[in-house]
Amino acid sequence: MEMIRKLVLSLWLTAACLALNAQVDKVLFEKAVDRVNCRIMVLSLQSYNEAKHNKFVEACPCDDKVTSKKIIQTLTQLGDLSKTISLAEEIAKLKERYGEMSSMDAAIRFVTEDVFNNSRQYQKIYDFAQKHKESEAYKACMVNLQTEIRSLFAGDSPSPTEAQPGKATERQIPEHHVQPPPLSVSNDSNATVSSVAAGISFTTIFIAVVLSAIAAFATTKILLRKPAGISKEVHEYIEARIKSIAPPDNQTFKPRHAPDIKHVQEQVNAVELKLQSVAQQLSGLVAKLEAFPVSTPVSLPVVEEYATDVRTEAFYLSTPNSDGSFNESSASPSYREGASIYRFTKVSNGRATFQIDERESSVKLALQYPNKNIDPVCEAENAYNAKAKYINTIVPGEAELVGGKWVNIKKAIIRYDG
Amino acid sequence: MGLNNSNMNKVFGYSKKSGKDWFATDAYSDKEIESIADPEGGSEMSLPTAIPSPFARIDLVKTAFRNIADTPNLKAYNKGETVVAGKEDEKLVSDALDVAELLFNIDSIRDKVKIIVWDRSVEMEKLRKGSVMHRRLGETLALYLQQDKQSYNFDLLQRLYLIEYNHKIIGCTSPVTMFFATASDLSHARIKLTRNNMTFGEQGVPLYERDAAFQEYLYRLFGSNDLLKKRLTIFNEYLEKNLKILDEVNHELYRRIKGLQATRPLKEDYDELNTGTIGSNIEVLGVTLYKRKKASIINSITGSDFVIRATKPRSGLAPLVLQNGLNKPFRYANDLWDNNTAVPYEDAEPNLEKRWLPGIHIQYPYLTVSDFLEPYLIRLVYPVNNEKFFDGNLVVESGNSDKGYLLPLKKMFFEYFTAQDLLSALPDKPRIEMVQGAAGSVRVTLRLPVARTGEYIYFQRTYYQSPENQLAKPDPRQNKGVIAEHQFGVTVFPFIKISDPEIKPYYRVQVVDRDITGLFKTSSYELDFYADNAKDPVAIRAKKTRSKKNTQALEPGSQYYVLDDEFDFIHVKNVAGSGASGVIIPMWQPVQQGNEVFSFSVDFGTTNTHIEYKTGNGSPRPFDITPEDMQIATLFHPDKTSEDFSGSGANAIRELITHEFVPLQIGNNAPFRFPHRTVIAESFTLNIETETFSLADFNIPFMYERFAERDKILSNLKWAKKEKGNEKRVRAYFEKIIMLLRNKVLLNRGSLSQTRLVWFYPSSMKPARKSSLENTWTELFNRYFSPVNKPVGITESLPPFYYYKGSARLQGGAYKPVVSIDIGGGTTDVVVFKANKPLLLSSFKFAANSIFGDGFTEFGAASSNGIIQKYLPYFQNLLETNNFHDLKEVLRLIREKNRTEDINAFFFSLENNLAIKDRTLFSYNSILARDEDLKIIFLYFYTAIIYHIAGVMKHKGVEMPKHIVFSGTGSKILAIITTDEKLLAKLSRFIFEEVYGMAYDSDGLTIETERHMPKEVTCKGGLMVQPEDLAIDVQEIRANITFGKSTSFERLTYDMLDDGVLADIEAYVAAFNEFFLQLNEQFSFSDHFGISGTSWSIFKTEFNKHLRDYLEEGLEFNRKMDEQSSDEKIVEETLFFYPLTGIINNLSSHLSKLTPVNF
Repeated sequence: MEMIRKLVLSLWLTAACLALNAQVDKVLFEKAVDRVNCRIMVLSLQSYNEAKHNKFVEACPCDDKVTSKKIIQTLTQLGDLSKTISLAEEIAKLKERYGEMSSMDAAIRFVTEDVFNNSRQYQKIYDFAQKHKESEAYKACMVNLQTEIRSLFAGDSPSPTEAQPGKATERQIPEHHVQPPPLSVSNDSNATVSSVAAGISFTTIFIAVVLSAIAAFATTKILLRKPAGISKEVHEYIEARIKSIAPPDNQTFKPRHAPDIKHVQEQVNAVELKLQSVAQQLSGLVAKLEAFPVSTPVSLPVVEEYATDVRTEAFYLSTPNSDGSFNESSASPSYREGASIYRFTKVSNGRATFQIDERESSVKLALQYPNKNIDPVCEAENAYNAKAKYINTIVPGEAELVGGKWVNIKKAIIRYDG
Repeated sequence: MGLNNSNMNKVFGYSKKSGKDWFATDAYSDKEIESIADPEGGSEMSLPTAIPSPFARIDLVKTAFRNIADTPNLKAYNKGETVVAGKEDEKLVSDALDVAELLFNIDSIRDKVKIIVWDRSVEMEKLRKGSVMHRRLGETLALYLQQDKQSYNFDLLQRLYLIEYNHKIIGCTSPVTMFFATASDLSHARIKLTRNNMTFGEQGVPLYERDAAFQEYLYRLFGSNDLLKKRLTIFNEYLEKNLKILDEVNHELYRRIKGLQATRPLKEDYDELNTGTIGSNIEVLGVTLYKRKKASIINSITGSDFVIRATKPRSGLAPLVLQNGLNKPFRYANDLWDNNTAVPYEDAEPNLEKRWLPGIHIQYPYLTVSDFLEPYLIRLVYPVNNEKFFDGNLVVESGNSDKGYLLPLKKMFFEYFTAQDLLSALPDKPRIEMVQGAAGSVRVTLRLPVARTGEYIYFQRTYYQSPENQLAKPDPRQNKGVIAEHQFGVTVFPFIKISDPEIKPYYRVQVVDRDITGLFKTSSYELDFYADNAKDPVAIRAKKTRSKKNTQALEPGSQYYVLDDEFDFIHVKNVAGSGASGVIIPMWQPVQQGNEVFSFSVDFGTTNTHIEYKTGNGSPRPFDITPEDMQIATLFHPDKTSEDFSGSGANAIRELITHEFVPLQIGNNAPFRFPHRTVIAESFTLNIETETFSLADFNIPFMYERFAERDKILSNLKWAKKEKGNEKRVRAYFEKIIMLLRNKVLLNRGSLSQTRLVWFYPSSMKPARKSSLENTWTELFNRYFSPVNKPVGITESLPPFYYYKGSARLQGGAYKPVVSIDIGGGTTDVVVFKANKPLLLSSFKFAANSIFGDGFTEFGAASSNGIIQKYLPYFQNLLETNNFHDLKEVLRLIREKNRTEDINAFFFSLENNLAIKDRTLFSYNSILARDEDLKIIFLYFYTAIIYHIAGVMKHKGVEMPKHIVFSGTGSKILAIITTDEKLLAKLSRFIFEEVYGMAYDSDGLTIETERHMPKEVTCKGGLMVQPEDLAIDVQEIRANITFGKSTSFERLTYDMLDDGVLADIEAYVAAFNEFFLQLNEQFSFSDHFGISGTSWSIFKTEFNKHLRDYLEEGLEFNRKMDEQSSDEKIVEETLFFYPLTGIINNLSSHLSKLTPVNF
């Protein structure tokens, strides 16, 4: 029974982690670009011409159906907006970068941050950001965009029927558990890249779904108190699932364009290593879980606890900036010894609580340079103690995500102990 | 006989005769044979293998040559339906030529080829003498040789040479066609020699498409040997036909061949082809064959377009630089480059000379990707400081730009190019570019100039990110590199390269190893430094570990390299970890000496040290390091590096620079400045008996009193008892200062040799101690500056007067006596000037530490010191309340040493700490000024000094002074007594008048102080006069008078200090105390200085207690400190202040308890 419990925990964790690390699919990525495009156009017109702004909002609301094509059409109809149109075109071109998005987070960061800071590749977007960066509307728009796109990726996405004809496969794969699109020979290098990436995305998502199903199945079994035969059933279930999605043996991939293929190979290599990394993290988590002391044979609340932790998106950060903020780009989904000091827990989109992680290494690290590591974001309720063994967070701090930084809005109250 | 029926003719005959029915025929001639149509139409490639003759293959090849020679282009050819030469002919001829060409190039494959000799006479004899079967074979063979001697030149056949390649026979010499290949599968022998096509390939290659040198050789061979022309007629026909074709397809070669001189000996251009044994030459029909001269191959390759265009001179063959997939018409060895040639990304043979060129199998050095690019790319947790170090032209196409990389260049690259080449944007120079792409991968491209004008070869390798907590294995053969992220910092001091052999460089390079967790926590770093003009690394004078890495405590380690040579790049290797290596190239800015004359003055004080400098005749200013003349260069970008070091938390890389090395900036707008506390830092584990270096084993910790210290901090350097290592510490302290000064000069176009240095010493310092300091300054100054002018040591009591005089602060001039009082931490120096010249000098150890120190306690006594007891809780609370946790930690660490002066110095430093905004709140001076209980001590202290000076002046017959000027950190005490200088002057005047017993004239007495920079006055004054003018022998004017009640002593030795003398001194002190009491009556302390009544009452109770004890304690303490053993030795200072020090110490503990500090 204990083994089963561990298995269930492992599977839940595995599934959850895979889902977190899953690559965003192409349709969603393009929708994200369209959404960014729409929001930026609204912002641009708002500060330029109220009448045109109103007409645009009416003709082209920033919803799930908006496309860059429609945006540009609408702008064209409004007339005398050549600069705005070229900005919209530059944003629309971001869709071509889909193949480089290694994860959802990377994609979100790319469309909401990176491109606005990249003067070399995206001159128009960069100029726009520079022009508006001080305005409150712009700041708010950027914060909202991150939230919007995150929820778009997180599942508030259109149902399969909403997907565009001809682009259905990648979007529908997870829902239908159908075979992946054949990796056919294509003369279009971009198509090849997309196919490979989509395949990887599919694999990741599929494993996540399968493992989730297994976890659910096993949980049910435990709840029904029928421990016998679980492993066999699980085994059969996995086997059946793998068979159902395995590509035919004779399916081969024969690229014809060497340079394109070289590029794709590089990407595949990179993604392979990324997958290794995920696998490594998972094995680490499973190992930790197995080492987790268990006093009772069945301990469902433990499952709940871990599941809750994952759902609330815990992540870790190191030294804060002297202004009391943390760099979001430094956030790590897992604890990193020697680097992590603070544990953040997301309470809503763009808001999180934080505290000094209880681990010994976090405390040691924090105490090394307290003026840098503690003071900017914590208030101590007792005297600083360089030899403290523990730093207990009495009241967690609060932070808000603004422009790529978790800005401290309330310091954590801590206590040095031991 | 034959059928003469046309139909039968069609069926059975190939006579091409049109006879009917039976008609006469004879044997088929060649013509008839040619006319037989090939049922496969000439395309059959399966060669016959079972012709019943021992020499069938010879015949087959001979026929093939004959057929091919009849074709227009020496290839398979059909004339209508008639096959003139089939594919098999083409193949047989081509294979025979392959054997010939292979032997011509035998030196390229010598290791794989073996020649087996079949000697006719020897072998036939053997057969004859062998078994029956062998005999029969011999007889049969002899029969054939005899029977076919006309057709196959067997009459001239002496030897056949069988050629074995890779242990398999591939061919043999032939008496009719020179060579023939075996019918076996020869695909194992497919090698490229010096041409584009491969030996024994699928397609036959006619001679005219082969290597020109090989063709020339054959024509030379035949041209020089008529026998070959006569006997190898078919082969000769082939050659003639080939020449005709060359006339059209390669006229240049044609002309060359036509112009060949038959008389020129072959030996001049070729080497004899032997069986592997010198003298055993391979021949055909007795004619020796030849091979390509090895030197000619090499010569030919040295003209290749791929030859590296190195910028460094190098002996030996210049290697080729080969790039996979190059699609340009480069000349390779003899022919054009074939873009299908597979160049290995890594050649297992490390010795370039032993490498074989890919594709053509010639032993010649060449370079490929792995020779220049490392398997690992070291990623840093910060962006590289690209203003000081080369960042490899990093382009971030994807991901964040918060991380940088070392250059993944192997040392071998620098055997051909200089570091400077990489920084140059000029053509014909190598260039590196790193592009950060998807999923953290980095594509590194190294452009290398080659012989072909304007062209480059590009080595490219993509490095992939390793899974977290893992290090993937690179695959150099597949050209897959791996990124290894390491946490370390490198800082170079000074960031100056002079390149002037006359100026010796001195470097310290700090390495902070912050790999404290994960895979690399047990690893360390090794740095080698290279100059562009030398192959071997520059000598490392010392490598010192300052902080030992402690992974348990998550504490980083630090190492320091001491170098006395300039370098152009640094090779970094991670040892026992990833094994990854990389290169750092400093972008040195040209620095040259100029003519600007710098003058520095260094006041090495008990508590604080100050440095001033001036250029030319400019005004003195405190020493600074500004953004324009920063002396260190950090590998991390100081502005672009995030505070969390891209989430790694490796901020120790930044912090350890401040703690152990040199700050980026010093001065008014920087966190650190002079005057700075006179302390030195070293590792707790330093073995002082080993060879030590400043800025490797020691440093001046500018973070002292500002941040919690990590090291062992030692203070009281100036007066510390002569204990083990103290001289080394003082020397290290001076050396760091000298290094800072030197860099200041170099970075501001100053002249090292013209630089002037003034240093100060207290006049009470013993000559031996002064001499020791002087030697140290002189030696260091000479070493680092090679100066024209020697450093000048002057007593620190003289310059303040010149400062006040130079800044026109002495109203009415200085003709009348001016008393300059320099109150330091340990000593007070007094000089009486008259008519601008020093007249009288006195020095005594009664200074700030007499109040703020431990009295006569050799070891720290802070825990029982009254002032500390009173103010320690106050400041602890203040720091806590204001969240200055780090400063509180600083205080805790200082407190641990229990030295009263250190704790008080910390309190005084707080108001100047940049972290503290409310300076008034933390001003110890202001707090003490408001302390009505303790103020009596400061007034007593001041009065005693003025009283003693007045006594000495009177004793020496000097008239009363017109001005008193104050300097030194200790003179801040004046502001505690009162900020009203006129009041102080009034008090002083009163004391003088009382001592002299006469009244002042109308000029009166004025007091001048530099309240905000009393310490700086000495240094400034030292630069406001010609220092040599002040280098006087102070002993001549020294007045070291100890007053007794009944007598005074101008010269006291220890053996004179009997009970009577001591009692007389004690009585004098009691008289002074009485004077102080009287002073209050005439000059109300309460009214003028706010002294509390209670404190005055306690003073009156305590002030005359234990006077003799304090006097004895003082004597004992100072004898010990001076290591005074001889009783005949002179007592170097007045004994008047010994009892007073004890009184003050005693009083402070009583007075501190009176009124608690109001928090």
